[in-house]
Amino acid sequence: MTAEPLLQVRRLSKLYDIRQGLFSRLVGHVRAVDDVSFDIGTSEVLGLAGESGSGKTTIGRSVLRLVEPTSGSIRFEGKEVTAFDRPQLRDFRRSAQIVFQDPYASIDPTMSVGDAIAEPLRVQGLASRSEIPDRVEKLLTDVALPADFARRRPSDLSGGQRQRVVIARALAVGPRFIVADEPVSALDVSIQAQIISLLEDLKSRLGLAMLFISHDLAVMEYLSDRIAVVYLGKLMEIGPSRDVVATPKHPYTEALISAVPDPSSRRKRIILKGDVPSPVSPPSGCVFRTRCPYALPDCAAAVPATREVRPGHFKACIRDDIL
Amino acid sequence: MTGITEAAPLLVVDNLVVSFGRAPRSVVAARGVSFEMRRQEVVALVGESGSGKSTTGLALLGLVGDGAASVEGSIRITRKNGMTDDVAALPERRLRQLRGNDVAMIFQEPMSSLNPIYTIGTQIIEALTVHRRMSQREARGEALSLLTQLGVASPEKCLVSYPHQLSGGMRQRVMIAMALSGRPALLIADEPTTALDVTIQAQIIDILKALQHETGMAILFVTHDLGLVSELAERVLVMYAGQIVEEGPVDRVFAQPRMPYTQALMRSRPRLGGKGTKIEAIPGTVPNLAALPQGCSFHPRCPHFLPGRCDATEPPLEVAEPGWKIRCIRWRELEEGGL
Amino acid sequence: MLSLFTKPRGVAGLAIVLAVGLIVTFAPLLAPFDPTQSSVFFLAPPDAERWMGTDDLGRDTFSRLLYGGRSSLIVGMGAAVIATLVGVPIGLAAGYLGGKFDVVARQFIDLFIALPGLVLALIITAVMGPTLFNLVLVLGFVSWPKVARLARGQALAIRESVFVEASRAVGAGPAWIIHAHIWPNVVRIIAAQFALTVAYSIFTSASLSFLGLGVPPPTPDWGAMVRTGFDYLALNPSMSMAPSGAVALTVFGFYLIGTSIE
Repeated sequence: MTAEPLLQVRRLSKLYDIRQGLFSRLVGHVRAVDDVSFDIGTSEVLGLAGESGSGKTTIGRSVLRLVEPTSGSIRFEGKEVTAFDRPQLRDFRRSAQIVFQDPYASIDPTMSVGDAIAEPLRVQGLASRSEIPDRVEKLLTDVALPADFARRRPSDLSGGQRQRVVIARALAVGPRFIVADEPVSALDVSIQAQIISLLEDLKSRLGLAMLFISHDLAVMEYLSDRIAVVYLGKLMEIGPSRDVVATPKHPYTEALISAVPDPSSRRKRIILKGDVPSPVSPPSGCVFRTRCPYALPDCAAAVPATREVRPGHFKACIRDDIL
Repeated sequence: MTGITEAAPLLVVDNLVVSFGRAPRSVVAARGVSFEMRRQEVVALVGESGSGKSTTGLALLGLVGDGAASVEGSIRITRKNGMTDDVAALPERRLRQLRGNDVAMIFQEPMSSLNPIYTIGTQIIEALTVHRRMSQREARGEALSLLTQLGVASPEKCLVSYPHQLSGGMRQRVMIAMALSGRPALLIADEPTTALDVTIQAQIIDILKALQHETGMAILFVTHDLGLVSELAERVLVMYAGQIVEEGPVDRVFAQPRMPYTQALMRSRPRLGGKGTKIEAIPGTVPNLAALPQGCSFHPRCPHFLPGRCDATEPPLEVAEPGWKIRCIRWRELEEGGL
Repeated sequence: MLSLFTKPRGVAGLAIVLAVGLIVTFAPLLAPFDPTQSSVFFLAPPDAERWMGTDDLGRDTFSRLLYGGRSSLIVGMGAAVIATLVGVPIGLAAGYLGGKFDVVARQFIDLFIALPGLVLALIITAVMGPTLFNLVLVLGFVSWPKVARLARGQALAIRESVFVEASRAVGAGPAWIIHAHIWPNVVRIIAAQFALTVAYSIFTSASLSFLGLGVPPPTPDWGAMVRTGFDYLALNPSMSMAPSGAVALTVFGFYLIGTSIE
């Protein structure tokens, strides 16, 4: 990895206010993201795994400042993103883009496919009126769609084709970094592989760095160089994807991996008890301890520090005698 | 012979055709689906959106009959009393007796099947008093024991909760409890874990497995997730564009699929722990049921497509060996050619 | 918007509105008599020459009917234009920008919606005096909160949509988002509301005229004609039936247009 990572996230937190009653009195906070730190190198894909309520989507949005982080630092190419003013933020959007989960909701139904793809170019003033048709055609080719799709309506397209359009939009500004928020979860099984292959191709062809958010660990392992696992807004484990999947060091990662159904093997599964606790009042100490099969009384005492257990492989768990 | 009823299969679906809409613009969701299920058997019905898997599942309960849908073919279910009834021909009144008592169903989104204005207790107890003619008292006891059996940590609290107060996993447990209230011989589970997180999904699958063991009810598990199939089922039916395209024992079908669609599907999924192995995407899109391709409906996406043959006639579902059926005119030559 | 030309009800509505519009525009060419010219044949029943008879001052009802639609259409369209010009910007801004502006705007909108339009119009007209111009202003004033509420609700829903977030993610500001996303997505429903506002305003202006607060005499006006004819209903029914029919038909036409826009 280079000396300066492309993206450096330090102690990122996002709290949402809970307001109640007639006068919207503040009654508490939801800790959507709590003290999360990670780096993403140039052309590196970091997988962000977690279940619903883990804060993975909020992390993705915060990194791009689509939601305002409550605290923490986000440095992109050495510049502090949280301190950007409006024009700087607009410039930042040329370097960092996002692909959303639902390709049906993320394209304006009143726009043609061509207009949807051209929108970033127009907003950013990256192409003159006469250049736009050529640029759109080039972008459609990049995502393996026929050039005549520019005139089509989004409603004429299948889910997979729409997701290609969304990717083409994100590529229009020539970004170096993309947040891909569950980009294949809404697609049919036979279509998912097409989009995964496209993302893989873009990564190697354009040298894109990516934050790949998913609940599907198999897809994530396939596409990511490293994997970060989050639970209740906290980082549990981060490391090279091969290592995290083969030899997870955190009990939650172990359970998560064992829960992934696999068509060709019947592995022994660890079934976690209960539901994810409410992020309004998370457990003290280690947030996972209430469901952890290895929990000790000490786990409730303090929030476990993130420690390096192997070069580049970190975990937030006090026990070293397991896994 | 002790009796015909024991030897008779639990369910025989014969040439089921379900279509929606009026003749010129009608869409055929299930196109001649035939299969059998024995008692206590767990069968998976796998397919993508538009494959007809959910329609087939609903048809077994007589739930597509009203409105614009037409149902042809027969769905013969051997009932608890030993009689065999054709679901496709039963009047609504008789269907209601069958639902819950002989065949029950759970859905992807339990919220839509639970009434938001009644407590969980009220709803389970009602189901029990209807299906098993229990008194309120007995039903309450049974509801508690059902919920305990389903791994609900505090069943008393669950009974007085409203559906929106429960988590997704908890709601699905409640749905299962209600489905089990009539002690059905067949449970149709339509994507019951799709909306749930993986760790909760694992809990529900575990529960279904345990229940199947204890009660011996048969389960038809409708899903798009190939991974889940091997967790639960012994036999798999793969559907594509309204037809069964491959049927066989789960372990062997997944180890060595023989129909090109199943093969392609298996190759298109990355495997956990298989970093480094390339996946192969299936080109094209799932066909539109209103405009199906000629001949084999998979031919436009098939790597083994032979012009003039695959697009000429619709391939039959051929028995390759006992218990294994394949819908592909080329399966024999592909196997001999080592493809 | 295409649905307007393909749906039978949309086509029917357009046809009615277009016909009424053409008739009132070319009233001088079509009318057999001067609408303000009295004659001695007062309260005459319909005959071959005077198709709808005459009124209490002997004026030809048919000619008055043709001219009378002018004020109705002017008032209806004018009021709808004002309601839209005022209501849409306020509604879109409140819905999209939110915050304090929305809180204030919402209170205003709710307050005006709670007041019954006809009564409000009645009071204001009584104070300001019934001229054609005042009627347009008053009816526009009565209708804008409904338009604003609709625009606000739509803007609010679209603001939360993923495609607007996607637009923000490529660097678009509020002006661009309102212009490129919010407006194209609300324009149909606002067009529909426009047609319904025309219908409502024509109806209300007729009601005001009926109550004696409409376009001042001797200018022919449907509402006033109904009012005068009402006194002679038993004697000469066509005198009030014809203008009420015309009001009903025009309102119905605009209603068909409004409801056929998806």
